[in-house]
Amino acid sequence: MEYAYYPGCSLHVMSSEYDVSTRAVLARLGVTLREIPDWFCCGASSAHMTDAVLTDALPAKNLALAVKVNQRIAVPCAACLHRLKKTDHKLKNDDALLKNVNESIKDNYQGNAQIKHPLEIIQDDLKTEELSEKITRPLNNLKVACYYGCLLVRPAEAAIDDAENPERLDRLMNLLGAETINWGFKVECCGAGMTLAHKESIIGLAGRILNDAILNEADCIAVACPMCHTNLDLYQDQMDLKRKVPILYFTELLGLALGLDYNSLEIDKHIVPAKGMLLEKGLV
Amino acid sequence: MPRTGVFVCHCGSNIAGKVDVETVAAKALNFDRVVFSTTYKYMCSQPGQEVIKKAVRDNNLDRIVVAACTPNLHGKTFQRCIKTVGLSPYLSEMASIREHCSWVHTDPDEATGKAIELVRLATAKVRKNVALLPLNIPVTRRALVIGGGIAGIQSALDIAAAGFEAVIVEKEPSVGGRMAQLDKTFPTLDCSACILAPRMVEVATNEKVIIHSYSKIEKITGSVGSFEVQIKKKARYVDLGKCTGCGTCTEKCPVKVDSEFNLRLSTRKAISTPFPQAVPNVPVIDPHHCRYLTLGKCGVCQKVCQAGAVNYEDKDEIIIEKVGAIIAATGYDLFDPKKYGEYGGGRYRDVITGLQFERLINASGPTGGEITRLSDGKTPKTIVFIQCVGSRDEQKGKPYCSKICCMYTAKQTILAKEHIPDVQCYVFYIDIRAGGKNYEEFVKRAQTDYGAVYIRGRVSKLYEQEGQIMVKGMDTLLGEEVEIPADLVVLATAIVPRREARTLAQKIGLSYDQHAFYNEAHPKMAPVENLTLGIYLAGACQAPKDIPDSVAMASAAAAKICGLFSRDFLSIDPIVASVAETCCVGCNTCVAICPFKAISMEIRKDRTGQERQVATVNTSLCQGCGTCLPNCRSRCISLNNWTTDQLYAEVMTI
Amino acid sequence: MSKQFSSENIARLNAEILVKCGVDLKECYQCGKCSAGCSSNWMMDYRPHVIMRLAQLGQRAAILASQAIWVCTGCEICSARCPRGIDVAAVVDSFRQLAVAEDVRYGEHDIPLFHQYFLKETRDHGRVRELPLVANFKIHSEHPLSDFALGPTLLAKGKIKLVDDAKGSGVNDLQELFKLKV
Repeated sequence: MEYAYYPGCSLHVMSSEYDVSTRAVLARLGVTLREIPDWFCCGASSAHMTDAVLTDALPAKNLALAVKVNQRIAVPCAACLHRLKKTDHKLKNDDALLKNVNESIKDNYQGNAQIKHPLEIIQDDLKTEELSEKITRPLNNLKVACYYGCLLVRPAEAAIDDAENPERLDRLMNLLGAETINWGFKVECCGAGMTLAHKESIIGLAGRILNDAILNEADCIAVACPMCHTNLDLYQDQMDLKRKVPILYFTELLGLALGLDYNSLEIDKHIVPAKGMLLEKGLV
Repeated sequence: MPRTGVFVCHCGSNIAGKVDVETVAAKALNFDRVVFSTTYKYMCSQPGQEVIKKAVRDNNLDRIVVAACTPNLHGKTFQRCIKTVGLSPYLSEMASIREHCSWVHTDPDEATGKAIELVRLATAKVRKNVALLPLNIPVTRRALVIGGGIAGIQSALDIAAAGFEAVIVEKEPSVGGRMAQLDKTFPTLDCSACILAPRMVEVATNEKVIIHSYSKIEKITGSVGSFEVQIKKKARYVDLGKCTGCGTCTEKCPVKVDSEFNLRLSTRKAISTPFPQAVPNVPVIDPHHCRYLTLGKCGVCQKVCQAGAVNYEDKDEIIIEKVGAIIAATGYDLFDPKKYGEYGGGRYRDVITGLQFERLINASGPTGGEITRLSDGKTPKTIVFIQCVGSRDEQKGKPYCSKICCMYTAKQTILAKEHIPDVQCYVFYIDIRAGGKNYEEFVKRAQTDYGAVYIRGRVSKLYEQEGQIMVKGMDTLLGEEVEIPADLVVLATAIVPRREARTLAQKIGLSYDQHAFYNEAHPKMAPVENLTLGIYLAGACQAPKDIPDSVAMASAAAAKICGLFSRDFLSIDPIVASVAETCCVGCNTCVAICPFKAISMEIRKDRTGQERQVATVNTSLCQGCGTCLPNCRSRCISLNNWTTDQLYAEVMTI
Repeated sequence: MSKQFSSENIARLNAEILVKCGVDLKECYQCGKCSAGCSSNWMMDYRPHVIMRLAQLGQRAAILASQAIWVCTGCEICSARCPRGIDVAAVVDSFRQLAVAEDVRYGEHDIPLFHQYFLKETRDHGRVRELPLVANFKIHSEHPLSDFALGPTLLAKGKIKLVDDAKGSGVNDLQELFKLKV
């Protein structure tokens, strides 16, 4: 099983631990990732919020570059996934737009990409039994709040799960032996790309999410998006919280369950330390 | 030699605004056999009809063509008109120069040209019209009522009051329908069961009414005046004649199943009646859960039954009823709020539907009339009602307004306050629709006398937090979002047709709309008739409706049927197919193709005594659709006044 | 002061939005579900349903000058739950794009500025380098010194790099598409 790999800017430096753990678990599960050599920024929120042309041009060019590596493309960042899938959906359904965009990006994208999030690859491409056989360190006693955010579940054409009550992450965590909580903030927005631009948003939005996870006695929050991670992780010091909550990428939890070395997953890169909690649960 | 008169209508400016009617009338005088033509502003008006009558008399006309709207609208008007001056109604034709011409064309010259051609065709056809005689078909003076809710009961009682028999087919073990599930009714707060029960008893004891409960329509054949209905009476396993309704069997039965009547808020036994006032008050055994019927063990109910009414060998039974008319009164279902993930998608126990609230607050309901939370049995102090769940929502629900939710929500806030004096009710609404006698006043009372707080705006999301349901809504009047921690949330879910509405309609040839609500024949002028003759509508199967509207509609449908039953024979248009038996080769094609099953084969002997089969048309079943004509290999079927000869005559004049 | 409605403005803005994002503003019946679910409603001068109302009534200038269009995070919960299937988020995007294209005076300072520096990184390096982005943005923002203290932590954790020679060369073909002001 081979995929073209689009890490996106966040995974390049800021959230390189997500990149490391994604590569590690997929390799362990027999999925080969081939990084697209000349990939560049998909435009994230900034493009679609300010410029109609860039909205589609940036993702389209990246798709054109990606399919030269492989038609199947793995995208771990929920924001990149969202932008690439939205543009791809438009291009697949509008020949005139496709022609137009191809002219402006000086390329010839054919609308032939299959874009997937690693969560989908793990759950849809691999057999459940194969995965469970490889679990050497089940996440017993761990209570996880699975947080999906916005861009993985909206809109329908870009979503990987139900818009209101997604369950993919919960299913995976349950398979790994963790308990997941039922809570009301699975798909509430954490502030997305406002991390730097408007901290007030993050403090308010991420704060509410963290508070509900604390109310539900979660040991940690599992995420599948670098922006969600940053927003939930970065400012906990400045929020009015009863306690701090470690934020972990699902790939990190999966990596631990698969018996991968703690240090190799670079979990210590998080602002809110997770090691103490993981030690307590016997997962390190 | 035919003498045809042509009458061109202005229809105000509807026709005359586009078509030069004077030219049409002038040109018509050149057509074959046309001896008279004129125009008039409104031909359908009394003076317009006088113009026609006078022309017929003065010019000795024996055929007329009216160039106006469609025959669907005014065909009968002009037929009746010429009948009064001694002409056969069937010697008239209409040329549709409004719907088919002036309304759809923009260029006046072209429209006038087309109008002239349409009149030319009609004059060619009318020349060959025959003075047919109306067909009289016998009427079976009994009515079938499908559905034993308040609409069905009301129409059966009204038909019975006029001296005719009514046969109610009810799929549930008891009549009563949705009204039996309600607690109180708006805007008078009458106890629903108290005003319904007398009607149920009346219908049960009325000797003109036959009730087939726990029964389903299998098949309906025939047409107005003589329908044949196949009814499947499901095995009840309890003898209706022997059972005394003592209830011992239910009491002793060891099997508990979710109660459908209480909307799964409580359990019932495997042998049970749905509610205390059930009619007939005879239980049924649920064969999917009864231990004896599934495992061959138990048999307690049979042992304890003093009357010997329990019969495990009972089988489904097919009954045939012959009726002359049918009322569909099949009622409604509620939209399933599971589609609303943002409202929990059915995951939150303290989020219930309006109908569940009715059961919860009802003295014979699962909690004996105590409003309690399903999660922990506590009494709610804050109740949030959300209107338009599934209504006015093109994405997840239905585009239409369900009409009754504003009113029953107001009622439920009042009842909640009466049951729990310190409760606070909030109602999220988009618009309050309280058109109806004393309705607006009722909603006002809910607010002023019972303190319900109305918030204009939709709720975006419900989620559980610390044992409460958090309601995230908008107050659009305030322009700000609100978040209410609620103990109980009640969703006013949309009214939808019964799940089986579509299949039933297909079985009996009822037309229905995109939502499967049954179609009225005309939205204004024929609101209780269906397009299929002899079938009438009552209650919410036609559109969302409250009790008074359902009852009124039921009485109206009954009145229509009583009118139909007032004569022994029904006079219908003789526009039916007929077979020239001498040239019929008996190929059977028409028999197979007739959508109304109106053609059958009969044996005839020819002069040599040899037998052969020929097609025969049952004129009371034939609807004159003409499907058989082009399919007849030997061209021996024709349609009265729509003969091949006439159609050729029309085509040849072009 | 009372709002001035004109049939011309109403028709023009309705047509403009229809062309820009395929949304027929007349579909909106002001139920407020978008605003109720909106992540950022508490920070907005106009809630999303009010933006829709203003748009229906042709109040173009008021929307372009609003702060609401900028604090919208683009989470699309409004679009997902709209009973009329209106892509409210796309309408907001359209207004942001118009505000940028027409160089109006924004109702919010930092956010549009951030987008400009973000896209500058994209244009010039193909990949967004955290440190130059933060530096450029903070210098020009209204709160240049906020979270200055976070810097060392982020550096220590490896969340930002002092030297980042990242180059996403795929962007080279797209240079003339960028219409930035920085």
